Order: sequence, then structure tokens, then C-alpha cells
Amino acid sequence: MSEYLESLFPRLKRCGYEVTSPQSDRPNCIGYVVGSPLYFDPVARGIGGYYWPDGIRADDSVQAWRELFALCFGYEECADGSVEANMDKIAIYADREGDAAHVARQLPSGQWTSKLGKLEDITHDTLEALICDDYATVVILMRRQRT
Amino acid sequence: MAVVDAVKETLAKAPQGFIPVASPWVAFTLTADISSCSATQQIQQQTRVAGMNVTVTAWITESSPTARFAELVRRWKRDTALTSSIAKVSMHSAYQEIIGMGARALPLIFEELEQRGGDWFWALRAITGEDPARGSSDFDEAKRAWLDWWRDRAS
Repeated sequence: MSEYLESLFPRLKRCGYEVTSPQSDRPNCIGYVVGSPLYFDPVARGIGGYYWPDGIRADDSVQAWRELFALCFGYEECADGSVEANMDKIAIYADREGDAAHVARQLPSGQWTSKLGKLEDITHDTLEALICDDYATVVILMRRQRT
Repeated sequence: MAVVDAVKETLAKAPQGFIPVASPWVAFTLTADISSCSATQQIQQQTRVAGMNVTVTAWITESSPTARFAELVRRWKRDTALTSSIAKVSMHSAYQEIIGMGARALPLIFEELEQRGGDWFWALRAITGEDPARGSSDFDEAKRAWLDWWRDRAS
């Protein structure tokens, strides 16, 4: 439990969570959900230390993140965050400006796992738990066959 | 108005980059090392405290680059802790002020990068016009490339 995280995410404590790592500024949330050590960033591509694949829309939009997950990691959009057998699901959050802000990955238990910016990794029981000023709403859910 | 609020209100009039000089009654706002301070100034304001007209005087001094940098880093990290977008992280006013410090910020950035990591590559490229880490998408590799670049210039 972390009072600092609970101050950033007002719904976190009520929804249930567990801290699963110490703070770290690498990777970012995208790298975390796809199991990569890289910091995926569309706008910083070309600057040493960051990564964004060639051929994928390179801006901070939700569409760019959707394209990344669809074309590079085999995800397709789905209707909801319910648990489906042999399916990995992710949820993309947008900030108040409508830009992509965060992505969480579903665990087989139905809980979600997230790398929170430069802070800790956590397991959270619901997607709602992370709704806050920075992660204003869940805008896209995607799924792929679990390998 | 309470005394503490009157002092805070007066100090809020300080120009950007200035900090309070140590004194018993402003000690609570003292956040920086003043050993390298210069150009001390006074700011005053008339206000009412406990029903009396008083003049609040605060002594401020130009912040050292080290102190200013530490304060900017603290603000920047606090405000961008949850932000993934490097564009948004780099556009934060504190980060932009650090870039605006130019070459004076370089030793401080490299010390910060070496000891605590962080997203400094954008600022380093903006200040130096170079990117010795170009082509590397791995953070540790990019960090090594920048630190080597800095040591080459410092030696």
C-alpha cells in the first residue's frame, strides 16, 4: 500500500491494489505491457534512449497507440474488459486532452497490471481504480490470443 | 491575516529565481543553500495582521544555479510522475527553464543522470545540439553514450 499512490489515484484504495515493484523510470507503460525494456515514445523517436517502430503513426494520439498494438503486437479491439479464456487484454487510457496516457494489461485472474509512469508497477482490481487527473478515461480495449 | 500568510504573500512578490534569505521568521520557507548567494534585495508590502497595519519586509537573494536546478527538478518530477509522453514531460515549464539555463545546466544534468537517471536526453540534445546516443533505443546504452561524451569534454 502506498499513501502517495493513493493521493494520486483517489479510487485506488477503494478498488483494491497491490504494489508489485519499486519505482523505476524504465520501461514506460507500453514497454511494460508488452514485456520489453524499451521506452516507447512516438514523438521522441530519433532521440537516443527512446523507441517507436518505423511505419507507425508517430504522435501522442490514441490512434497511434492503437496502431502500435494492432500492427506490432497483434491486438484487435474488443468490447469490454471481461475475462476471456486464452485471451490477453489491454486497456488504453486517455488524458483530459484526449491523448493516449497509459496502458494496462489484464492478468489471467481478471485483475490488471500497470507501470505507473515513473513510479511503481501495481496490480489493480479494476480499470476504474486508475481514473484520475492524468488518466481520465479508458478509451480502447484490445485483445489477442495468449501465447 | 496571520503573520505567516503575510510573509508568504510578500515572498510571492519575489522575482523568478529569487529565494528568501535565512532569518528567524522566514526560516520556514528557506529551501536552498545560500552560501553562494549574491545580489540580496528587500521586498516590502503593507498589510494588516491581527487588526494592525504592518509593513512586512522580506530579504531575498538570487538563487544559485545549483539550488534553482534542484528546485526545478523537484517540481518537474512531482508534476510528471505519471506522464508517459516525452513531449509532455519535456514541455513542462520547469524542464524548459532548465533547458533555458543552457550550458550552466550541463554539469547538473549529467550528475542527475548518472545518479538518478531520468529523461534528460531531450534537454541534452536541445542544449548541446548533439546526440551521441542517436541510434540507440536502450536507455542504459544511451545514458552511457551521453556520460562518455561529457567525460570527453570535461577531460
